Amino acid sequence: MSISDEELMAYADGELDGAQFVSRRAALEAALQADPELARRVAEHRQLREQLGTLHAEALEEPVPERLLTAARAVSAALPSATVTDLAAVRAARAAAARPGRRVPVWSALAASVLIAAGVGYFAFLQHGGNPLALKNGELVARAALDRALNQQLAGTAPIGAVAQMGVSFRAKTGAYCRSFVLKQAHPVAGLACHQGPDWIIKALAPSLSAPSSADTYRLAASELPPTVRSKIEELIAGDPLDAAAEAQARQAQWR
Amino acid sequence: MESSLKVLQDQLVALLPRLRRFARSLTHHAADADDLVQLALERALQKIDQWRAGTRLDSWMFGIIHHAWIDEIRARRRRDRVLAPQEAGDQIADAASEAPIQRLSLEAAFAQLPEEQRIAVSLVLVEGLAYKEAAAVLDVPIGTLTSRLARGRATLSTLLGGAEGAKS
Repeated sequence: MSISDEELMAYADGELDGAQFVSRRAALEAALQADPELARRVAEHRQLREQLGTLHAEALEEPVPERLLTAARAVSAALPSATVTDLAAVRAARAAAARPGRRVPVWSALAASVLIAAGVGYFAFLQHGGNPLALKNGELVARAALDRALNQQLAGTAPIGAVAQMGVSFRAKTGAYCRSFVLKQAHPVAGLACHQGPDWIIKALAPSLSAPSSADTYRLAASELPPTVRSKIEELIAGDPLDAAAEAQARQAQWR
Repeated sequence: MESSLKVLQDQLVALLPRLRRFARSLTHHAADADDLVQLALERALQKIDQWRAGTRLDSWMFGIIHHAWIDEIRARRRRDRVLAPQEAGDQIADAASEAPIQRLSLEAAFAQLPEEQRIAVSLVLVEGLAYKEAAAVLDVPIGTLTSRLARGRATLSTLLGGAEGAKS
């Protein structure tokens, strides 16, 4: 019986451990008994495997950079695996989301819960018209309907089908315009975005304390925002929030 | 409920050290490796709807990292071709087969493997994937994976000084 090196290698790697390989394995082991050269080659394969197991092992010990953690949390919060691999969580989320007379998408509730668990994150990736958030160079940026709302929508106005409600707008100490917003969904999420280059960078994001009022004239006061968002505003703001006229002017100037 | 969600949340975070290790096998450079992982995570978010329940998260991410790397390599080669017309892969292969009889460190030997062999070796022997899983990550038939792995191993044995084992 001739035995190829690939077969010896597969044997050394445990690829022939399955029940379906019983006879192949038996033949091979008999050959190994009879031929010390074959046995030596198997041992060599195993030794190399063991050595390689230590390669770049330092990567397993080093602390992971924050930018990668942020990116990984955003991805894992968006993974639909949550609905499949953890039925208990789904059921709990469904129960939490259920309101009399109202159908609530499980996902929205679940994502909001993930967000609570993570403190920051990601949500509602099944929003109409595409994902409202995306990662760009390690930062969360507004996209699709949220990006449009931040560019176009004035505080206190809510066009039909608007995904978000605008809160306060202000100039940050850096000179950039920033706007707080609440994403309208079963579990509303409040956030703060600052305009930078072509994008609105998300500076803070947290579950909203209360559902935004449905009244179109509602202007979200900073005091009603979740603490995470509020403290971020306080940290960044230069002077007072924009009034309605200044806000309209800023929009006219495309927030630059 | 919060704890079970926390577990989900942590799945990918817990994978990060292995993703960084795999990326280092590709780039040989810690900072480049982290950039590659970052790029792969951004791509993962973009193609999140392509993820299928039951897919192993590590395999999925290895695949995305691999793709990101291949794209990066292609871009780099296009840039380099202006200066050096010869394919980098050929040079590396030649260097490996004509290596002096001299023991190299594991890392140095590994770095000399041609790209395809290095990736196969990394997935199976460093990351511990089964042949079938590694073949799926690379989207190649299992026979292709096996032959890359065998050739990579033979070269490594030579470079590391176990010359007789180099026969394939």
